[in-house]
Amino acid sequence: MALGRVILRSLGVGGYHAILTHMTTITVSHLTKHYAVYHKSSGFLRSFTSLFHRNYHTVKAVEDISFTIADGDLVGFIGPNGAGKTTTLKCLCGLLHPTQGNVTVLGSTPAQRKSTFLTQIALVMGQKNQLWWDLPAIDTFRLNKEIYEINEQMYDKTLDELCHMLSVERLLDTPVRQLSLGERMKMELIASLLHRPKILFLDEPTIGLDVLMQKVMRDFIHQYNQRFHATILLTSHYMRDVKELCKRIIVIDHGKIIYDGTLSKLISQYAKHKIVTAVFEKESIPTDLLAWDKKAKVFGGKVTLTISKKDVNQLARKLLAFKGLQDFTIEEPEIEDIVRIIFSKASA
Amino acid sequence: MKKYITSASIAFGEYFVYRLNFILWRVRNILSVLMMYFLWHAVYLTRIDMFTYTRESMLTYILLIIFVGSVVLSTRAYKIAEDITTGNLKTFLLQPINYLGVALSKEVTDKLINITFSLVEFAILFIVLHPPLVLPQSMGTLFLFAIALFLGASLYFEFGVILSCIGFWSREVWAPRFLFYIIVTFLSGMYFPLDIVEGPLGVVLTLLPFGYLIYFPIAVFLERLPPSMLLNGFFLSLLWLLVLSLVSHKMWQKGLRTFTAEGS
Amino acid sequence: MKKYFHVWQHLALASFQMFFVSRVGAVFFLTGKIVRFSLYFFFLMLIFGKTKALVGYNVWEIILFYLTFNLIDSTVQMLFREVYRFRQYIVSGSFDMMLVKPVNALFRSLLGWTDVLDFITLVPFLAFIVFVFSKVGGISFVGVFLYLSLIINALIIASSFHILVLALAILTTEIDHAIMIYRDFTGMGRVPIDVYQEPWRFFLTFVVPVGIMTSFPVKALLGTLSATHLVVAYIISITLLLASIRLWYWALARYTSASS
Repeated sequence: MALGRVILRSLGVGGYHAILTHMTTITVSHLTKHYAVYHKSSGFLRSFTSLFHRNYHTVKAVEDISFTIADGDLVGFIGPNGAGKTTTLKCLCGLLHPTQGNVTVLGSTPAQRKSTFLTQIALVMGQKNQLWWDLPAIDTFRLNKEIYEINEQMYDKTLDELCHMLSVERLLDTPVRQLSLGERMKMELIASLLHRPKILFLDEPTIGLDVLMQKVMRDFIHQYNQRFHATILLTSHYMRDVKELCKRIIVIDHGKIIYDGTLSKLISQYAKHKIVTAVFEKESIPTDLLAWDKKAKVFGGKVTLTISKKDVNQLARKLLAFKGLQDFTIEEPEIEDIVRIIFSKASA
Repeated sequence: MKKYITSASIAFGEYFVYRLNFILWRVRNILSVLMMYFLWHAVYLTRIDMFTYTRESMLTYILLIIFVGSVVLSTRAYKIAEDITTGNLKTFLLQPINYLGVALSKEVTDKLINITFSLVEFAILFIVLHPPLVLPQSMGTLFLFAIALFLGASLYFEFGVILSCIGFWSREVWAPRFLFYIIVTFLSGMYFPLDIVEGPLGVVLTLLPFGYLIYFPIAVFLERLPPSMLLNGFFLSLLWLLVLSLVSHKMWQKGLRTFTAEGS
Repeated sequence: MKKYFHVWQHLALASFQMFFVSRVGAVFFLTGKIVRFSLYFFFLMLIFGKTKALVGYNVWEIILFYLTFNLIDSTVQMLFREVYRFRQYIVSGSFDMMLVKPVNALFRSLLGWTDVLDFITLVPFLAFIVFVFSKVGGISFVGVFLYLSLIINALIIASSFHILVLALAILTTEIDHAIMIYRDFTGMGRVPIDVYQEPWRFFLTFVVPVGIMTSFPVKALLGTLSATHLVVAYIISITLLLASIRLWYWALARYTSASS
């Protein structure tokens, strides 16, 4: 009893709080970020006066959001362009000071940009690169080795592993400007991961990539999360990225969190419908079937119906009774559609 | 015609968008002349005249560099190079306007802004430095001065076009321009009046086109040239203008062909 | 710290390598620098053909002033070339990638590029200076020591200015001419500061410390610099350095990165 009291007293309330925040790798509470955007004047007279005075308005990029992320999680931030995803990410990396609210990552305040913090994180942004254009990627890698003070053996080991995972061994000595976009992205990833960061922030990682490369990217992220046990946070406006990778997603729109939870819960919470597709032989679709959904889509012998969840079982039983039925499937609606519904509800 | 006026006024607006830059640029104009002014002033502390220039005429020369330099050496012709290397030229070629014509109209705007501001700067320096000035005796001189300025400005524009055309064939546009600018600075009379160079070197300088950018107009203003040299000067500057126009025209045509052929 | 030296070394080597990618441009630039130096030298000699002394200094002393200017100017440009590219980093957002790394962003933005050409020109300058030392009489050991320390002092002032430019770039992204103004001002140091009349001389010595940068070293060498001026020189440079660094951190705090 006395021992317990001593422990609590020595930890202090702050100490207890610190332990709590350390277990959750990222803690964001009531984060708000506003920008001032200046107006550019057109026309001669206004141009001249703009020499002395400029008008601006405030953009509320992020408005009072809160969430926590634990060690090893793979979380996706989904939202339309301008929703505040990248702003949130930048606040987590220390690139932006919050206007209001608290951010704690790995026990530090990112905005202080302490060395101990920066050595444990990595940021990869789709369009921005850190590789030297005219030199081979390996030169940037060696620079990062110096910057992060990685020892020789660890560097070699990590480099080998990453190159193998991304199959770029033979491209290490090619000047970056001669690489394709996909190959360059791979090199950017390696450059950012040489120091084995605890947290990896990915901003729009698949933007501009072809379908094949997108898959490679997703597979790599998944593998990396498994192998290196890093916490990964990615932002995207492609649902596919999130659908295949993240168990947990956070949906942001107009700077506010609309949904924070698992994907499956999102579907069950918001998707009130299921998609039933039935294929009949010889284009003989029973008319009663079409009565179930006025907006049914028909293509040859295939009919696609959107049916509310409570009616699905009933319809399934009816379907099985129909003659000429060749095949049928019952599916969740596309996540894209679900999210679209959420956004339209939020802005309404 | 209207489209040229519109593009000129857009160019005007562009200046003020970058306000700090604009002010700094004007300050630089003044600074570049101050050093020379003081240097020559110090030189003349111990002498009445040097290289056939009196203190008054030398100092007038230096101050006039601001004005003449602003009129002649300010150019947007280098934007052409930018448009070529970035490929923006494509957009302009698709429009029903003559690209070089637009460039020229923007050039005129440029000159007008420059003349206005350089007159202001000239006035400021005059008040602050109390320089002894040598002014022309007759109106005819001013008229000839204006013509010489016009010729100088046109010459420099052609130079700008030619240098920009390099962009059609190579990515290195800034490097040759850098070298060119250094050469021009010295050989045009921006640092010192060219006639202080004696002997064969001096003769070479009068034959080169650079001297007609800065030195010649100022020499006209200062009425230092006997009629025979005046005639020679105008003749040579016209000749060079012709030559350079032909070269720039040829290069532009050739360059356009390469540009559109590659579809870069 | 050792790490920073290694990083600088690596960055310098990378800039050398990247430089050789474009050899044609290099030739033009090097030629340009040599031509500029030579033509101005020619011009100075032209004046000295007609006059024995300029504001009390003889030919060799004037040459020494000119060479000292060039030494400082080349060293500054060699070390701080990255500042010229900084605006691009801000505009493109690449600066964010620098901020996210455990390297001081100021260090990286100031010293990230070492210019080979300026490095090359340093060697002949140094050789020429040593040669001129022998032509100018009365050089003492103390004089040389003061000369070198004042050159380092000049570098401190120059870096303060470049840091100021970096801070401005973050705040306004409109810095193209700021650096050129610096070059124009310091360019006035090609000749002894005594050339300039008062009150310009005072302005150019103590307000915009060109005189401190380029003329004081030579004056100290020649033994014409007062102790007061010497102390003032050091005080000004340290003050400027601390102020500019302060400004940089303030600008960084206000930084809003280019939006995605």
